[in-house]
Amino acid sequence: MSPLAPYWKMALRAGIVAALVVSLPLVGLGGVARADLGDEPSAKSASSGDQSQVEDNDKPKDLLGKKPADAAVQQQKQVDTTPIYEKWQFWAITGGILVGIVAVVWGAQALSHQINGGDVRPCNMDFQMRCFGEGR
Amino acid sequence: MRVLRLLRRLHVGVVALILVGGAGCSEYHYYDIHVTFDLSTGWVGGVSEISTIQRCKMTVSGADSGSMIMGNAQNCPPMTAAGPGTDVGIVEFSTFADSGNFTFTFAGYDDQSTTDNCKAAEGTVTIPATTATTTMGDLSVKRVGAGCN
Repeated sequence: MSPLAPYWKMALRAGIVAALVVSLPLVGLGGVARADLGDEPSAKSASSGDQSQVEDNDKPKDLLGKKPADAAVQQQKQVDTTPIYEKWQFWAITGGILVGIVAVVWGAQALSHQINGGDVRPCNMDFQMRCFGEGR
Repeated sequence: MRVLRLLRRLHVGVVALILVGGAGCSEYHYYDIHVTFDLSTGWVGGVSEISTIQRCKMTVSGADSGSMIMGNAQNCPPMTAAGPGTDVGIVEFSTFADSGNFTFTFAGYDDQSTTDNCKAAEGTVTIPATTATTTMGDLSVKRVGAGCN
């Protein structure tokens, strides 16, 4: 009889749980990053808004000149022309998702095996192969 | 913010599920039955007659079931360094069951077949199933007939 069997099981379980806990945030990383960008105005845009208000008070607007909105659209067009697969963010998020999926699949398989009892302990050498029953 | 909240809830839910799952739904339990032949039960010639046994069979019934046939490699008949003996050793049964009773029946046959007319020895013990990882038990084997050889 091996008294180590329960500790080994506990250690394996702890490892699986730790692996999943670490990998799951990776899967959601991309979504979280995008959510942060869209939800709150950045400090830069807030300060530029203040500046435009100050300018409105002091200078007459150039009606024929380029409007800030046009500049933003132009800038957006330039950004959009870059293929998404050439952006490092795309590959970082894709890699993270793939690693996360592999970890989740591996973790699910290990968890399923564990739920089904895990591995039966090896037959003690002193028992001379007189072991039978579930898992043997 | 809604996305963040949703992700946070999802994350907490999955982690909780993993922790609950990790606690384990099935656990192996082991029943170690120490089998010995009782010389006081009419063995003519003592260990010499015990050594005529060629096959042993351990059967489990009750909370779970199973059986195992044993031969020389599994110390059936029981041998010591000095010759024939009475101590077969421990037979281990693994199961997921942790409630009810297990009945272990050990039979010895003086033939390669395990037919009832060749049965020369038998012993039974009933052990309540427990949640413990390993439960020990003792089984004494008595002479029940002359066998078929």
